[in-house]
Amino acid sequence: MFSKKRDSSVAVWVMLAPYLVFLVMFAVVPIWMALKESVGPTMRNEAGGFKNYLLVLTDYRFLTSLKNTVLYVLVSAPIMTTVVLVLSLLLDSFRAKWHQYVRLAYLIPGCYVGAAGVLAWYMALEPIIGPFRRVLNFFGIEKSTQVFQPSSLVFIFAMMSVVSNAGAWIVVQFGGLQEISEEVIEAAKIDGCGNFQLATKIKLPLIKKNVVYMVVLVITASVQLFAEPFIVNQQIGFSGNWSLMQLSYSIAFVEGDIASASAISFMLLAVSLSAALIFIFKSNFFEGEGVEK
Amino acid sequence: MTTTVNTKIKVSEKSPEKKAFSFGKLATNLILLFIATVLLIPALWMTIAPSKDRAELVSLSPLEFGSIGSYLTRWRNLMQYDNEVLIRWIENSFWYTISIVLLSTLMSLLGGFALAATNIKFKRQILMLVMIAMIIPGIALVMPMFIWVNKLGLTDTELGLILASSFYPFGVFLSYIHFSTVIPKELYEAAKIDGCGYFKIFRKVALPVSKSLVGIIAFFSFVGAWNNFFLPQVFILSGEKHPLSSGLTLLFTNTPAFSGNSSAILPIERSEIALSALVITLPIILLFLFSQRFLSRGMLAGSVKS
Repeated sequence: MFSKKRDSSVAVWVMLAPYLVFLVMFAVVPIWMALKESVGPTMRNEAGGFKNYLLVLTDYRFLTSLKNTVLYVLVSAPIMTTVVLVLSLLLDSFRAKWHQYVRLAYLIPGCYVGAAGVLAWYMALEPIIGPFRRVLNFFGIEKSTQVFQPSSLVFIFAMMSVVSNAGAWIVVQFGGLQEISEEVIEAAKIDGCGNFQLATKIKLPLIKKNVVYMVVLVITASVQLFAEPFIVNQQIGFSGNWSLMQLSYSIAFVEGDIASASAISFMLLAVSLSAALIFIFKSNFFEGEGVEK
Repeated sequence: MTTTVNTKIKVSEKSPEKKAFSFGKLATNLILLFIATVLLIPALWMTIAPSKDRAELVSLSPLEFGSIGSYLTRWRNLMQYDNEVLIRWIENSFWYTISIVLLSTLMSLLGGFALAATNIKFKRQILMLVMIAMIIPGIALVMPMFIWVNKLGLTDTELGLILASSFYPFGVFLSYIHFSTVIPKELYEAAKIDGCGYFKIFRKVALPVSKSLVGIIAFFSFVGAWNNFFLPQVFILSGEKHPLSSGLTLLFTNTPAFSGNSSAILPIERSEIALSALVITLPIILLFLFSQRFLSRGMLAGSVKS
């Protein structure tokens, strides 16, 4: 009996092993390596150490990239959350069979990602050949330089991200809303709850966990913004260090300074990591999924 | 007679509610449809753009169709870029993605099952690591991964790219939730008492009732791997090893794609770029369309049972 139990537990570890090996190989060790690398010697600072961080923080480009990234998070996260929740609640409040096609349509822009996605939404704003050129021309926009200005980039990137990712989040939140039991909704209706009250007072609190999960993921992903500014800026010739992730990328691959790039990456990672930890412990996300058992 | 009465009663019962909401319903549907249209137009434009040449893009109305033959011309123009490297990228994308899907799905199924079926040591700690890894965006790990993969001597190799892309904590999480909610704990106990090893339980009991799970994990893994662009952008140095996602970035950078500048030697402009974007997007759109019914069924099955 004892030996059998042991055998089976060996089998379990064998099953778990591939994932654990990957977890160590492609998350734990790289994070450790990045930390180690980030305090190594650089061209600017041969002694290495935490002075690297100080040097990166005082780099003349750092503040601008930080400002852009923070502004981007502040603009895109609330827009994304609002758009996703409003549309999910509308879809849930007025259900119709054909809405499945509407949800599918919301997912289509998400199929265009990376370079193709940036191209699609760059063109959408292009006033000479783009699909919305009549609308843009109507508002007096005739040249693409009127659209792609440094000051409007943050909104353009936010739009690109909301448009491409909202569809998938709507599927998640709409799914959560459908799991609310009909009895709760009926009871609230009998108590005289209107659609708006139903949405804000009953449904939203019930899907709170999903919403918090989305907000955390949206924020952690926004902090790492790279693709949109990387591709758009190459095309229109603005600064190649718009976001912090871009700055890290160009310090690593243009200047060949892996240590300073690691320092930035590590700081960005630390932001995401703390958000993840706070979320997991604060929201009791863990307990809800039967992990306690 | 009775039926008419019934329907009448029903109508009179429902009508005040219906009337009160009809405006809201109409407005909602209009808003939902309007947004759907706005979102579909750029996709439609990208599909139609390769049917037109440089002049027609301006002269024809945005959603007007040019000619079928134009697609062929655009394709031939694209082929002029770097000795038809685009075909290599397409092949690469397929075989990288398929390897990643196989690896990550297998790992997720086994790992999730092992965590759900047993009470092994450190279960809580491992699950916590799964969740932390799930919340950290993949892009945050790219630079650290690059440093490590570089140390291993795996930069610019297909193996490095495939292995690094196969780390997929979300899949383990999904499969853990599935196996711990769908299959009752007693079943694992019973199988164990019957002398059934865990691998046997996995193959004979767990897998047969988990087709939708396998589909969902493979689906998300496929979309993620196909679209992943930052990781290959950093890992791959030689042009012909790129998948489509990062290859297109290269193509966009090295041609006057967006700017519409005609001074370049290669005839790769906006229509060509739109065609290349269509090439990378088509497999994903087809996958979405084909798996839509199956996906909603799969998700529903999970939610009903949990």
